[in-house]
Amino acid sequence: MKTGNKAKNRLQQILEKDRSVLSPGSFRILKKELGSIISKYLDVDKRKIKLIIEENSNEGYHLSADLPLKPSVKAEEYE
Amino acid sequence: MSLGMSEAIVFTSGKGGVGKTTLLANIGVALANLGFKTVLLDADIGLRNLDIVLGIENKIRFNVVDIAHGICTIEQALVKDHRSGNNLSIIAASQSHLKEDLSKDAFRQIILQLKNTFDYILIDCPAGIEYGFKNAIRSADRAIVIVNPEVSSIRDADRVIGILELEKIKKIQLIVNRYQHDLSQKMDMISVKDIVELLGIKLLGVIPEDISILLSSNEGKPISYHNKHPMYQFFYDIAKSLAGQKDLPAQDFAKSKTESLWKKVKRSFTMNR
Repeated sequence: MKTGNKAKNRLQQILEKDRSVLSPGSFRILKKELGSIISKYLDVDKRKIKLIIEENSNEGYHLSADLPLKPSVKAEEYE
Repeated sequence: MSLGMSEAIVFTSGKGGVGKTTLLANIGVALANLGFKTVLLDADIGLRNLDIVLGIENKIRFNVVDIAHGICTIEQALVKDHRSGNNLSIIAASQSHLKEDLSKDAFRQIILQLKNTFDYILIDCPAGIEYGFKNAIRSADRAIVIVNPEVSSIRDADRVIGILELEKIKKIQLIVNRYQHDLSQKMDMISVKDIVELLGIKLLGVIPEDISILLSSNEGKPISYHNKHPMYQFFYDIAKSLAGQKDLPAQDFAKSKTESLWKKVKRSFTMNR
């Protein structure tokens, strides 16, 4: 294989790995944007939003979000 | 006064040494000669280079940090390059300050004010992805990412593109600099088509590797002032595409240029050696 193709193949692998990592900056923005989308519909307490990425034994990574609502929201209306 | 919609365009690469400043100078000269009021803003605080590439380093009295600190007005810091009639100005970076000496708000204000006068504001962004880079991209409407056809440059460009997208910069375009057509034909250089495919942004143009670029920087006379030089057309094609006067090049650009043109460039390369 000529080196031009080697360069391409190496880059494909490198970029795939690079892109799969979410930077702390992106993570903050994700949290912020999630907060503003939800708050269009529900009165969510934006400062208390929790986002966690965890490894889930066999299934790879798992993103879970905890979005506390303000006391003004009455649960029974949404059942 | 500017002709209409004014745009701030940041030239960025992540990796240093890919030829960003020289490219920006040449495209700036081309835009000015096409009739656009153009200002080149060196945002690489502490490493002032743009004025040297243009050969007007002796005319610089004030710099962008001086404007930010209220030591001079924008008008006082603007230096005209009279080779382009009245259309080309530059604002130099400071050589003695740190990146942090130019605040985000001050930089944004300077760009906003320049928009009253100029059609195009080309921002020369520092290498890296730290404060100086973030500051330079934050005020930009568009971005041009410059890449050399080699692995580390392409990887860094990909990282930069990710950050530009997060900053919600809508138009991000690619220039491949220092391309060697003959090497690529022998499959010993990654092709333009592959680079475009890997990075996933639109191609704005390709500049061949040519020793005359170095020679012109030595003299402070950008190639864009030599209308007989084989490289000349490459810069003007990019400037026209950038200004919307010409369609974007084919995404496998290298094939679209005729062999004779590549040979011409190659010949000038050999001659000058």
